[in-house]
Amino acid sequence: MPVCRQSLFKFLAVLLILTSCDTTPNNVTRAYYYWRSDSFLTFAERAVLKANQVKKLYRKILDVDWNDIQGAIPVASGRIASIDNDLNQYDSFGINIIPVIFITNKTFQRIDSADIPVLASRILRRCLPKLDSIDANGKHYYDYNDRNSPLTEIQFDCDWTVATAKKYFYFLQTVHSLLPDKKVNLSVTIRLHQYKYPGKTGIPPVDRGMLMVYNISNIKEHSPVNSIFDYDKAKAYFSSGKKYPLPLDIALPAFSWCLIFRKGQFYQIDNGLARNNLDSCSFLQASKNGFYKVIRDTVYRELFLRLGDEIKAETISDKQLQQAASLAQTAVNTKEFSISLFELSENEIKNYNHETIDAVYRSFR
Amino acid sequence: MKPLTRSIVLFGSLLFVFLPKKITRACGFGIGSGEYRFWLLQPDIVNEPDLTPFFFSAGYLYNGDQNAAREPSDKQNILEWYNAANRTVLKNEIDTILNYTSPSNFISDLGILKDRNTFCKWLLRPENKEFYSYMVISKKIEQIAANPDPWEEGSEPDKNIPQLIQEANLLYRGCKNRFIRLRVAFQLERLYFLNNEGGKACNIYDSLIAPIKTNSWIKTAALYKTANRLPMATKQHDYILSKVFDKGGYHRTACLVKFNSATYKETLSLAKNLHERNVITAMALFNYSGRSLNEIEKIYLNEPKYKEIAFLLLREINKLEDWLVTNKVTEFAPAVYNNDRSHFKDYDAVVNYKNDKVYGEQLYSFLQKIIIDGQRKDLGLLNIYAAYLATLQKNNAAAATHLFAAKKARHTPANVKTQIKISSFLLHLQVAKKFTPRLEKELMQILHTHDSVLSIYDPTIMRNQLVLYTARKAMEKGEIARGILLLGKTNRAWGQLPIGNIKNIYQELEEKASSKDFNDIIALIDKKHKTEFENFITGKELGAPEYYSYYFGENYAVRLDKDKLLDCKATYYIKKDCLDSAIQILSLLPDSLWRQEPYVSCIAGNPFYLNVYCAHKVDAEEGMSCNKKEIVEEMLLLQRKIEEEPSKAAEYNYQLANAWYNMTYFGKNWLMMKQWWSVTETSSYSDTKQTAFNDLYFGCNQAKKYYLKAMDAATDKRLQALCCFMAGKCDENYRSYIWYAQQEGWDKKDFHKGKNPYLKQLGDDTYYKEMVGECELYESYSRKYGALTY
Repeated sequence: MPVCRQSLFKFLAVLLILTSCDTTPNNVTRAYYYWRSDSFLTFAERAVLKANQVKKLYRKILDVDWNDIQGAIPVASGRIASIDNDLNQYDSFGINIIPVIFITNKTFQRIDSADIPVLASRILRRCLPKLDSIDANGKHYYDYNDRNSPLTEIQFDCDWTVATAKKYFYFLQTVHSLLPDKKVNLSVTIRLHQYKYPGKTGIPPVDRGMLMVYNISNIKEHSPVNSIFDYDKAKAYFSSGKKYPLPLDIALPAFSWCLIFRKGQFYQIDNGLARNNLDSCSFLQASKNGFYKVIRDTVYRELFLRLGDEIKAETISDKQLQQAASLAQTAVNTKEFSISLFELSENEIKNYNHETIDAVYRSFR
Repeated sequence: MKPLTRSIVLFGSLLFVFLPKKITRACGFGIGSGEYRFWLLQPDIVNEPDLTPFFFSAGYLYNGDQNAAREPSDKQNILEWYNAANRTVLKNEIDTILNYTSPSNFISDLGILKDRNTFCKWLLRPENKEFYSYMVISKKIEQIAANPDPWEEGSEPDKNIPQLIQEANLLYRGCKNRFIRLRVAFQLERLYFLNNEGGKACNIYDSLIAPIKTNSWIKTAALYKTANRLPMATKQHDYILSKVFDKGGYHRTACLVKFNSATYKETLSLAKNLHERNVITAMALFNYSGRSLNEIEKIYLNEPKYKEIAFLLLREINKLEDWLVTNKVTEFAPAVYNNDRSHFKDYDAVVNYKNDKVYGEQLYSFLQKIIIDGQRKDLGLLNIYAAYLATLQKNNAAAATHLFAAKKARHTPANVKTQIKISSFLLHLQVAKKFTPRLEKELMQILHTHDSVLSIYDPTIMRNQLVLYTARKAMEKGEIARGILLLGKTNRAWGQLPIGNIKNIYQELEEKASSKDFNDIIALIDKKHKTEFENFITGKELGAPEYYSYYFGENYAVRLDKDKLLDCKATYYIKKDCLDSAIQILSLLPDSLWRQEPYVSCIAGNPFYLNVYCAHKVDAEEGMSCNKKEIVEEMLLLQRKIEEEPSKAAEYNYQLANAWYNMTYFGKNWLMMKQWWSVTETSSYSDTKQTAFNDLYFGCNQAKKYYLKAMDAATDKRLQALCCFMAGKCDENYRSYIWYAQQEGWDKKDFHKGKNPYLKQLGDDTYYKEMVGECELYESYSRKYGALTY
């Protein structure tokens, strides 16, 4: 082969390789979840959002559960207005606040399909008070008149199963059809099992999914495995190599909790109790795998603890957070997406320094 | 007036009359220095625990618990179910299901509950099917009643109600059990009300409930609900409330709150007999914050045994107490009739007080009459009232007679017996000229009585109140040492410092104790064979003011500490310029004490060096740092040096003057003479008074004395100028403090601009002018003459 033809061939080969890979960086929106019911951010929480240039805040505004007498009813609610005001007006910090509605799977197990449109309207009213004539009280909860940025997304969080998928998806379709402004995206949270088996659990009829790279195993199991995140267990969910058929955003674990077991059985969960709290408790004795044994009856932080109870402190280290991020990178299926950390609270943010959080966000670019 | 507005007005007026004395005088914890009073006849003494407003009105004494009052129907309901279950189940498990199991949990967790709960198990027996069905219906109604519009969309009534009415009707018709039928009828009444069908609800009451002869609380509750149908503030509405109130056992407080007192005379027209008239009148009087004796007398005349007379009389006594006593022992303004403060003058207060005293006498006469009549069973209680009123009139002999009669009375409940003991002790305390061992013994007997025997709402509050009151009285009677030690045992706040802190025992000692008192206290602590009282007051644990213990927990733990007491005593001598006595005491203290806070931060540097422009700062160049003991030692040494080396007397006097200045409010070692410091002490916000100590501490008179001595003795013109300047500074501080202490008026604002009065004495003012004009020159003089040269 003449040299010039060889060179041309090499050039074309290189060009082919180069053009076959899109090297433009991903457009990553930094996000956080705010899950508490109270309606204010602490100074430290606001500072973290600012320091990390977080542009989206997923704010839980409603917990909906099934009541055997009255059907689907709200059991807890949070407001957006004051947080929006604090961040966007007081701090002059442009951040998009996305309302999130948590609905128990039990709700879809029990609800009659005929009642789903009513539920959809009721929930949407809390997000969009001007939705229809019944808006007075909704406005009280979610005052968009005072909102500093337009509503761009509504997110639903439900651990749906094969059995409830049909009703849940019908609910989502109804919400979508009721939305007066079609520019508002609907998104849902996707658990790892739903991500791995889309064929079984179905694909929600929404614009985007938020893949939750945590809650790896059942918290009620008395086991040494960290139920929030365990690399080996999590890896298995990402083994198929197939891309999920819905544009995905990613939620990563940056939280801790304590699981309390009584007589080996799951008894209670405490989100506010941190491992370093436990180390200084004279009524506790550290044992293996992050477990602490209660050595005398006591009341601690409104928890009634009995001799023999076990407290399992679960936290996410920097390394685990990075592992979760690296696994999640394989799930990314668009160029523009959000990376959200769960969750924004003073107790949790102090466990991670700025460099760690920044590196996690950057790793997706 | 709407019900809510009326409730607020009622509560507001009650608060005005009865508000516990936690008055904020400044920022910080909301407790005023006058916050102590004990002699309050608490509402629970009448043993009507379901009348909430009166408990709330004395909220402090009920631990701030607005729910201190109890709703007797809860207990009654448990008892009725217990009997319905033939006493085969546990009462607390009935309570769990009735009151602590949410409707949703009851339905969803039944499978789990039946294994754990005897009552649930009983309900699920086939033969108790109707009881179970009733419980399901009642739980469903409970859910709807508690959350009638969960989505807050104005979607009441709940769409599930018609279905529930159907279920309840079915159960009622198919059931023969009277217990269940009464309850189902009640639930039907509730359902119709929830469904906005008041007429049907009242029909249910009239046809299914009213005819039933029963003592069950359900019937009263059902009657109460029928009042809901009627417009508020109508005589029919209030008449029903009066029936519910009189029947008792259900929502009596709510009856009083909803009752419209202003129109009670119209309601009286519906009364069918004297008793009903009395009930309606009594309800109006309970809501009335003025004088009610005339009406009470009428009630008594009509029905001497009417049960509410005792409570109504107690209300009058509590009112009188506030009119006559409260403003004397607290910072409340005097009572003003009709709440008209705009036209209030001091003269009115005097007239009011006089009239109230007369009213107290009238009330006392009436009580005497009732007691003599002997028609009532609560003679123990009435005699306590009479004793109390007699004491207000300073008739201690009569008070003693009444208390003796109270002791002898029959059918006296345990809490009333406790009050008799307390009242007797307080009377003895009142009468005694000195705080005697007998009084100490009597106090300890009450303090050590077991809670169950005392049988009062919160024995801890009572004990703390009693200790506080007794301590104050002991001090009034000249027993400062024992009084202060006793004061340290209460958790009530007895005073607040301008820095926001609540006073502790050491600060009380600083203000009140003499050298004898210190000696007495230390002798008491060292005493080998102590009495019970002495053991109590010399125990190391002191009562932390309640707000402190709430906010800081055990971190605020002031303890009785002999070293700290000796330090206070040494301070006492320093303030008296008895440095020899001070050093004797300070020598007894370990040096380690001075390395602790606050000493280590607030006593430091060279005490004889002073830069008056930043006198609180310790300069790194000061070259030495003395603790409290060392300062006094050095001062004594300087005093001797003045005698021994007259040629250096000027310098030594100047240094001593600096030491005194540094120990004043303005200097870095203020802790040598006072335990706290506040920036507001020398401002118009302070209530600084002129005292010998303040002359020393704010007026710097001791420092000035030494500066003037130094000025006299000095031959060095620069030192003379410096002493003159400092004497002038002391004078300026004195004038400023006196101005604030006397509050002479804002027109004398320029008090501090007067010329230095010692300039004439100085003569040649060249150096003075240079020094005043140039700070650096002043500093060089300060450094030069402030360095010890011996």
